Amino acid sequence: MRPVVLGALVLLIGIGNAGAQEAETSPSVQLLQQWVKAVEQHAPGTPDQWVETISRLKYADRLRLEPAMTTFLKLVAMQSRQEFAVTRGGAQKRLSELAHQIGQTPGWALFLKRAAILHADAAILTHNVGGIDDPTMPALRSTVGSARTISRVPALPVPPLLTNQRFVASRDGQVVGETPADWNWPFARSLIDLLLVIDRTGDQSGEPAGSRAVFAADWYHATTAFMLRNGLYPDTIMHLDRALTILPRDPRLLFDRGCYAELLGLPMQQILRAEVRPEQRMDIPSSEATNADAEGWFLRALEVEPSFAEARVRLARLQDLAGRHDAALAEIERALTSSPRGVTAYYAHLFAGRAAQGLGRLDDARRHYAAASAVVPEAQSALLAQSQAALLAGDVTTALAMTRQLGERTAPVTVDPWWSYHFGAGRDVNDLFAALWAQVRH
Amino acid sequence: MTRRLVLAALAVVLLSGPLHSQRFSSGAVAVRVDVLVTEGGRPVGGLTAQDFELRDNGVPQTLDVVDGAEVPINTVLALDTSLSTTGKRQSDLIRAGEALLARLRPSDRAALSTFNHAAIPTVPLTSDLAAIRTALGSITPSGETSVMDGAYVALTATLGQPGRTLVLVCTDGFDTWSWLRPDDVLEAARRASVVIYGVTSSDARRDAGLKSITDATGGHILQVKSSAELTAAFQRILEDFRNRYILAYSPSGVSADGFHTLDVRVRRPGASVKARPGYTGITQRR
Repeated sequence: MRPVVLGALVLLIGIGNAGAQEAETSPSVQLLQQWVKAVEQHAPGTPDQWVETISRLKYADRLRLEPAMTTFLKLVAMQSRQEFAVTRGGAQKRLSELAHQIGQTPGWALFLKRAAILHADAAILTHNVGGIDDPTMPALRSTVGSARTISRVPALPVPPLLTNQRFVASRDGQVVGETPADWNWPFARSLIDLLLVIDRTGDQSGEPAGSRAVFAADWYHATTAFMLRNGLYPDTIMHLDRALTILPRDPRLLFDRGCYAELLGLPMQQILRAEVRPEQRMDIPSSEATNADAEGWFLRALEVEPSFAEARVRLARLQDLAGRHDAALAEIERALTSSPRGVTAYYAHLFAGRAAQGLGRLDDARRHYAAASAVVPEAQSALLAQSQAALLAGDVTTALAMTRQLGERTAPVTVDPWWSYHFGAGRDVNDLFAALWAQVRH
Repeated sequence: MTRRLVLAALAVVLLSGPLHSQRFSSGAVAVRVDVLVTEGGRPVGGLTAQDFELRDNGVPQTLDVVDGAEVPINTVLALDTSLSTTGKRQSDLIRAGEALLARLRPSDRAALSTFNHAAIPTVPLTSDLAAIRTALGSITPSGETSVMDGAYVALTATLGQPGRTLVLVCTDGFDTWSWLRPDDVLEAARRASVVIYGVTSSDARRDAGLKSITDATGGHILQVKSSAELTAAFQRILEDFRNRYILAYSPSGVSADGFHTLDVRVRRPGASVKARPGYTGITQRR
């Protein structure tokens, strides 16, 4: 009986507070039951009624839901450890039965995965429709600051479900206002945390424990890709901070963290450092500092996975930028031995060209730029690089021929891989989500 | 040398190639430097070769001087068409462009290049200004901002073309997407015979790139408070450019290669000189 007693104690300590008493109220439990139904019914990746229901939850709704949710998730954690709770009252009993039932079918692990995907889908839907007006959200002092500032916050001051932060928004180098943080992300992160701590002995699915870590890494990588693709940088760093706490040696997440540090060093972010209006100035590190940080993350990714070609190519770009042209060329040559294709090959040749140019090797530079153009013929960056290198070499004919090609096309941002460089894994976001959704579809 | 004779001699220089530094070994050697002389903020006219002193890598040179007002010009408009230029900014920009075109002379030519994240040589150098006006009217703002890429495309628009070249870069924002860095454009600008002016409605102190290339070509940046001031800014730049002198010389006592530092002075108390601080001597391969 010892485990049962211990379990009961844990439960009493865990939920024997004001929140637990509120959990007994019918509206909170009803909302929780609706949430469970949404998790079970939502078809991953589709903007169905369930994801819409979640995305429309206002702060007041989440405030009502929170007590039952807190109790429910604690019950899941306990039951997964085969600890049994002493329940007080009908509502707690209903929650306990619900947690137990989910443990049987579909199993807590699958349920939590589906829940994390539901909230990611809700965040994406909310982002795509421009958010919803929420007059129930309490007015808070704005969190004016960059992702770097936010990353220093040790913990959220409220339960994840009640997140109500605001972030500064910028576009094309200029601060354009503020945007409310999406509560779905921190709440989904808390679900992933739970996914990784539940003990598999209590989960009837019999799923290998490792698959949860794989899913968690896939989920973080895909959702980070979405954030990077859409410029949700404060969310990105909070996301990656948590991801690397629980999965510190995942090469893709280390790579994502490197990409994040790297993008802060790009002109589009660095220009925000020079904002002269104090109230809109963002705390972004210097390019030297953040590029050095990015180098460290890429090196860590390469320690875990030496064959990670894009990490090596990005590392090389930073080395070149720091004036270490020889080291950059050596890294790119190593990356090219694995015959990377597509965008990675494009970046490799483009950056190799610049490194060669830095060493005064114009012929090598022109050869690499031409190779980049061969990979993506329409890309402006390689055409301009070829033109400029030709001009420096006194080859005006080629310099002109390259720029004349620029006028022959329309140019969505996907045309030139340089234009999507700051997306990092975000350029593959659709494929990453498709693979993620496939893991939990019925 | 009379002005007419100088003009005739200079015409050979100006028509002989795109770069201000032709082949030093060919005998047809010439460097030309556009110089703006002002006093109390206003251009100073009536100066002759005797009023100028030019040192190439510290070595005094013998000059021919032409009043720039007499020489046809190529004007390249490099206009920011990113999303932020929508609305009144767009209509003001078009109006400013049209006003500048209206002040060009029949012997002048113009080109239009536009940039958002993409840098497009929209209309090549032409004396058909109606084509430029039509293109101006069809601008649709969208996308992000690549100032350096746009400036580079603009300055290459007149490579291989005769005449003096003014590149006018107008932006309301900051360079956020360019592949080319200011140093890359600077290197190209030092090899091309252009004067780059910038017009910006954003805080120029925040973006050193545009300033570096205007300084390097002997131009400068005009900062406007709003797009309503664009027309006046464009016209003032054209007037400045026309009021420049062209100093031409065959370099002597200096080697052909590498970067040449230029030091231009005017022997007139109270007057100030604006000129490119140097150029890079190159030999064309083709």
